[in-house]
Amino acid sequence: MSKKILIEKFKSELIKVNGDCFVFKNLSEALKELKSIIAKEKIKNIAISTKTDIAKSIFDELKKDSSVTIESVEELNKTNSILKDNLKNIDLGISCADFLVAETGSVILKSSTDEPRLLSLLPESHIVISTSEQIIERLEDAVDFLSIENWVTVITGPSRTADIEKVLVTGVHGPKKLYVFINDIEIS
Amino acid sequence: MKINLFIPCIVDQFAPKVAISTYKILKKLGCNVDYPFEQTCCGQPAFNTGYHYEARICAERFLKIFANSDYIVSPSGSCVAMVKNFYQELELNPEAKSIYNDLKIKIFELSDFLVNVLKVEDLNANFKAKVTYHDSCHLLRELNILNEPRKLIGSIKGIELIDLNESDRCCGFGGTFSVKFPELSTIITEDKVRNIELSGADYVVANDVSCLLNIQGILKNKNSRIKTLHLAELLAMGIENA
Amino acid sequence: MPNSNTKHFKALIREKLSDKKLRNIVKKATSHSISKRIETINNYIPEWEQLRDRANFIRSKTMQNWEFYFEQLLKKFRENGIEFFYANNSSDACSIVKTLLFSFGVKKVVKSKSMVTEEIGLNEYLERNGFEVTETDLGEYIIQLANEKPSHITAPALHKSRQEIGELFSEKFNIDYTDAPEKLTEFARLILRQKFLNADAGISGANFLVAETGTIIIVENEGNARLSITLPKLHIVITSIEKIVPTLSDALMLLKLLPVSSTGQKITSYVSFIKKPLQSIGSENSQKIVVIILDNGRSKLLKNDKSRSILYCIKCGACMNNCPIYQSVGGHAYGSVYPGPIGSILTPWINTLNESKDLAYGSTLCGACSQVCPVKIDIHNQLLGIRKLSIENKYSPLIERVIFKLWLLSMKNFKLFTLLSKFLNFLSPLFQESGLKIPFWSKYKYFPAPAEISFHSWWQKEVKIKERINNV
Ligand code: SF4
Repeated sequence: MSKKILIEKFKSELIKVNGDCFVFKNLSEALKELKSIIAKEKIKNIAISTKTDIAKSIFDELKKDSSVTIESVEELNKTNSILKDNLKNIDLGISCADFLVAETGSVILKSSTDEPRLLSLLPESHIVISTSEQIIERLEDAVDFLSIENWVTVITGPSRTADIEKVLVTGVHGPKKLYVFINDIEIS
Repeated sequence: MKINLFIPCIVDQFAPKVAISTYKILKKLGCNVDYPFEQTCCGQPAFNTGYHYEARICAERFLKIFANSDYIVSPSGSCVAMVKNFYQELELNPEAKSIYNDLKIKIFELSDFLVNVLKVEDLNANFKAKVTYHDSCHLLRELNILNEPRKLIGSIKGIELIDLNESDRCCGFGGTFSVKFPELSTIITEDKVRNIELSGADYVVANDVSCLLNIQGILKNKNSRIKTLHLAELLAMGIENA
Repeated sequence: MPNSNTKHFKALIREKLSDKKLRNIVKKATSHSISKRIETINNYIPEWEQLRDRANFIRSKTMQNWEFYFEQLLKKFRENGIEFFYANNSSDACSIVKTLLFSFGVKKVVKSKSMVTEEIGLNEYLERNGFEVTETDLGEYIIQLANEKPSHITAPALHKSRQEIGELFSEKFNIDYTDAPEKLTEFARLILRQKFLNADAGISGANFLVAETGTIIIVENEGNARLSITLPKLHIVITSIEKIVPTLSDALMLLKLLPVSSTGQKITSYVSFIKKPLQSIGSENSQKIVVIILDNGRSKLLKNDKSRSILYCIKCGACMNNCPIYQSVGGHAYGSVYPGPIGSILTPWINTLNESKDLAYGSTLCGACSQVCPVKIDIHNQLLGIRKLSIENKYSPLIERVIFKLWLLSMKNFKLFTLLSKFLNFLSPLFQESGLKIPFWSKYKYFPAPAEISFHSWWQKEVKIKERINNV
């Protein structure tokens, strides 16, 4: 399957599970979309994992924005304070994907010190930065990765429950919103 | 080719018309039909209640009586399933076991036999009515018979076959279950009857007399206008009308 | 142990049957799950039946060679720095947990859904020992507030209406009544978030334990399991022996079936793959993970060729959703920790047969459970198996045994059979109006009179005589 079809499939699957997907070609497109999400969700405090170059650039750009405060996990780790205390008042966590799974609209994230599990868990909104290179067809295609890594989470849409009369409610304990940003490298 | 009729005891005693209809349909199709006269029960009631010894004695008797059949045909999905699928759970004596191994592929439920062995899907029958069809559990899940009865019903001129909501949901009979847990059984049967009423049909058709008796048990108490009908009866009446 | 009480199964059923509201809620909720499941299979998984065969193969292979995979798993746990205990029974499991919590100075525990902890009665036990235990799965939390037990293995509060939940919240927290699921959920989020942040230990179940890699796999939708296993410094996994799978590929294969069977989702919101305790960051201590594997009668099943398949279960709940009995009475009627068809076949093995045999009789044997079971457990055959065992042990009432002896007598003796049949035919006119009266049955349902002429007699008259005439 071509990348293009995989991206389309990923997008449609993610939307079905109440997530959202944004494909961008360059940094300014990504920033524009990001800012509109920040405005829409009334986001004040952001934490970001700067594992990748795009994430770093986003971090640098948002730092210039006076309407939000943004901290990188790298910096937070240096402060010697406890991570959960640092993250519990964050509105938006931005993390970097390891893989995207087209078949189910899932994001695969491994946790590490620069990419703590809590970043994709405590804030009400979660944005995942990825590239079209990272897209795979099915979860099975990542089996080697899953067997090597020590902590991996496969995330499909925002946190959800249907425990009350089978009515679907998003955002029980984890994020209420999930956005996946895909940098389409082929096109750019 | 000779067909040996297997008429479950409940049909024999409470719904002989179903057996007669089965006989007439097969005759009409030119089959050579016999009825091994000493047959009684296949052992299902005992087996389902956990009485394997009693079931095994019945099974061995049954197998002896039906040994050397070309075909065994029966108008009951659950009794066919008993012989075909569940006899292997009984510790049959070696003689019975070898008869069983021979017979288990020669025993058929009526609609299965008509459509898949005789390759008859249209009996040239005529019957003007609105009917709906209930999938009996063993027929559907043990014998995988889903479309055969529907094809046969659909071929009858004048028939309107209406889909039954939750047609594959149990009618609540379950043999001794209905006596051990009568209230619970009734609740489930009432669900079935509600769906039957909603279908707007005049008749509810099924391939198992026990399901039909059970459903009729509630319909009758409610003074419902809807009648239960075994597929064999429907086909036989349709053939007479033609 | 605070196990199940199945003695009063019939009484419980009667009680639940009279609750029409309950029946409507359960029927509606389970029908919802049934249609979601079918929708996903029909739209996305044409190879469903092949997947089930494959899953059945994996499960049977694993359970047959359980010890091999178990050893492999333990080796991996050791390599990965995960501590491990094998608990023979509920009380062993409970005391292991208690000792661990004491040694870590734990006061507050958050729990994510785990049926095994229900089985061992962990919450009551820990509370008695002075720990604060908070269930964090929304459904479990509701049940805990209401001081009840789960009525379904994947949807514990399935039997509760939104009004009941609204009243419960308003009463417990002194808030304005609302029955809007969104508002109730948001409220629970706020309360439980604080519990998570202050907890000293997290207890979770596990869906799969991968022998090849030592990976613990946890499947969930809410994020409460992730929080429970991430925030506290001690993570205890309580699970049972059948959760082992040989390889990660096997686990991924089973993962394709599990959520579809439960809720119709292709995958749940979160699937966590954990191999090692989390490392320390900055001034924090590193995490500790302890896995407790419960036996509680299950190893008997490993050795039993006929019934081993009961252990294939991946706890999806499809069998209960599709069960007409469960749909009519809900999970509490069973009086056992695991309700529905799987509960009826598992409970006799983890409790005593005599105590829980009635469960196996509370089934029409319709086979709807076996038809949907993703790992193809022959559930209805297992129900029959338990009935057989119960008869072999003479647990059935004497009168029933006598009836079946007499029944057999008349079925194997054709003369007697004919005589009785003639007698029934003779009585027929008496019952034409009223129908036949059958004990218990006739209180609720009509039963027709016996025929005036049985098929045997008809055959003799119509066919045999004509044949003879023709032959002359
Ligand atoms: S027995 Fe089968 S259907 Fe029932 S919960 Fe277990 S896996 Fe699911």
